[in-house]
Amino acid sequence: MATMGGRRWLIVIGAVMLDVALFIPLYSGLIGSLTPGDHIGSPSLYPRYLHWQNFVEIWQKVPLAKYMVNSMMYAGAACAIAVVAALPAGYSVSRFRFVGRHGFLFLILTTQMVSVSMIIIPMFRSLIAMNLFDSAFAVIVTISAMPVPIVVWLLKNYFDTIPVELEEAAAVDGCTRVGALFRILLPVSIPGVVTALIIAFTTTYNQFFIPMVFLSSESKYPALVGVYTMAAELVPPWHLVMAASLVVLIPPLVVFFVCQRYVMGGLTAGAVKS
Amino acid sequence: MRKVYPYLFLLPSLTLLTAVYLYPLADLVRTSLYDAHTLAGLKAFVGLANYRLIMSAEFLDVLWKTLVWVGLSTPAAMLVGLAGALLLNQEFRGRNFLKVMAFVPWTIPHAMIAVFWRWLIHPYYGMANHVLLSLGWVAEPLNFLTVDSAMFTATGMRVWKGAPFALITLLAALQTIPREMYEAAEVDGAGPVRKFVSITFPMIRGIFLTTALVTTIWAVVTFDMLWVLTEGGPLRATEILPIAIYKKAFFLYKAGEACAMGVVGVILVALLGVVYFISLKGTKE
Repeated sequence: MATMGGRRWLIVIGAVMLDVALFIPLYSGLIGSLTPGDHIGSPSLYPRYLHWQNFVEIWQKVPLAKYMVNSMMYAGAACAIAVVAALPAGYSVSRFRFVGRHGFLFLILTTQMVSVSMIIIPMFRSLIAMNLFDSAFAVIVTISAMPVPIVVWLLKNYFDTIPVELEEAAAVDGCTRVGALFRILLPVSIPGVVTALIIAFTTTYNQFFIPMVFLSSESKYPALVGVYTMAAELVPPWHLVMAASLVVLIPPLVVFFVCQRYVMGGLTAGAVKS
Repeated sequence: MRKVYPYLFLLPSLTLLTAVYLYPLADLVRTSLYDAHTLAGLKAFVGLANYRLIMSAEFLDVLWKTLVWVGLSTPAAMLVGLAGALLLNQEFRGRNFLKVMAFVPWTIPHAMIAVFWRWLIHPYYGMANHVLLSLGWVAEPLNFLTVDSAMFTATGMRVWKGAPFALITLLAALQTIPREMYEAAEVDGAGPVRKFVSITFPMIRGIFLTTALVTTIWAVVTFDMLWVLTEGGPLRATEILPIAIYKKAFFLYKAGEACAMGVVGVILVALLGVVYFISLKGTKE
């Protein structure tokens, strides 16, 4: 038993070390964000300063508030569009058996593999053709398509778990298909829809490449592009860059910690099922 | 009317996916056959000339960089993820906390990851050099982003992002293995290595393979992270395919050639996708 105890400790130490290693970049960022600008040249392993002033200055010296509002607006609108578009599709493939159903599901999986980085030029060409360069609207519509495939899958899987008898009973009472979707299925599917919204929000909030290429006015930048612009300066004000970076992480991190069961469950559903 | 319903319900998502993915995909192939300017548009049909133009030593170098990037980062991320999953598959207090914490890097936007890494490895201000100097392992601050070192640094960053994903999916797979299998093996006198080779790995092989393929595809199409870290530099040291396409189109305005490179990329990803689908089928049976 003594050796078993020893092995156990090795496992715990190993797991803790892995976690510590994974947190080093964030920890070093936190220390940087708490260092006064004129002391940024003397790095340290532990926080020698607690210069919270940096977290005040980022709102004054950088249009961070503008960036954050833009990000929330783009991600908020885009995740709503994504879920509204994906919802009927998830319903359709869950409830009907029709010619082309497998084709549609295959298409969904395929689009998930088409990466923006390969088709950015045709996307940009369409943008120019429609005179939508530097338009927030174009950014919102484009990024709203990113989470659609995964959201369709997610909702389909969720609807699959709800007995179809509920809707059949409603049909007997004279409810139409569309009526059944809205009055019967949706109210009992709130958890599934919330998960879909969360995943769609994180996906759209994390978009960087599309807004970077589509937008030219700084006042329209989402937070990721804004902070990148700060960090891309010749001599970036690192203490402010780090403070801003941490603020930018807040929405996805809050979403993750509040909903980590859903998020990790969604990711691993495939793994456990097969 | 009832027969039309299923299709009507697909319309919103189909419209969106067609506008954002499928039409651009078709336009990618078309543009690759034209002499085209990124802003001015198509000029003249040139057939496969763009493909001949890009088949240069320069492009082969880009493909080689892409291969190095994927070939280093994917196996490393899978190994770190597997090690972490095996550790966290043991019973101990606080295990769930460590599992959730290990997943945090995965939730951070790619572009932000690179900003944090640039700060961490900053030659004069960064914590990495501070530690190396304090320990006396180096006499001068190391530059982690030289022509020779940038790719390794970038790979490290990619592993930092990818390992948590592998960890979580592999851990979920590990937890489906019935404990009785190990107990039976122990009765037969099997040691830890023997158990891993005969039970653990065969049981998670399917998930391992699909996770590795997804990680590979994501690595091939990486843009955000590398762009923010190095913009493909220094001197093209980290210029993988997506970066090369972007530079060709938006710095040199050679849209035709850039699209030809895009088609090569799409074919590459499609081949990986075919393998992925086959492996998915394999794990379901």
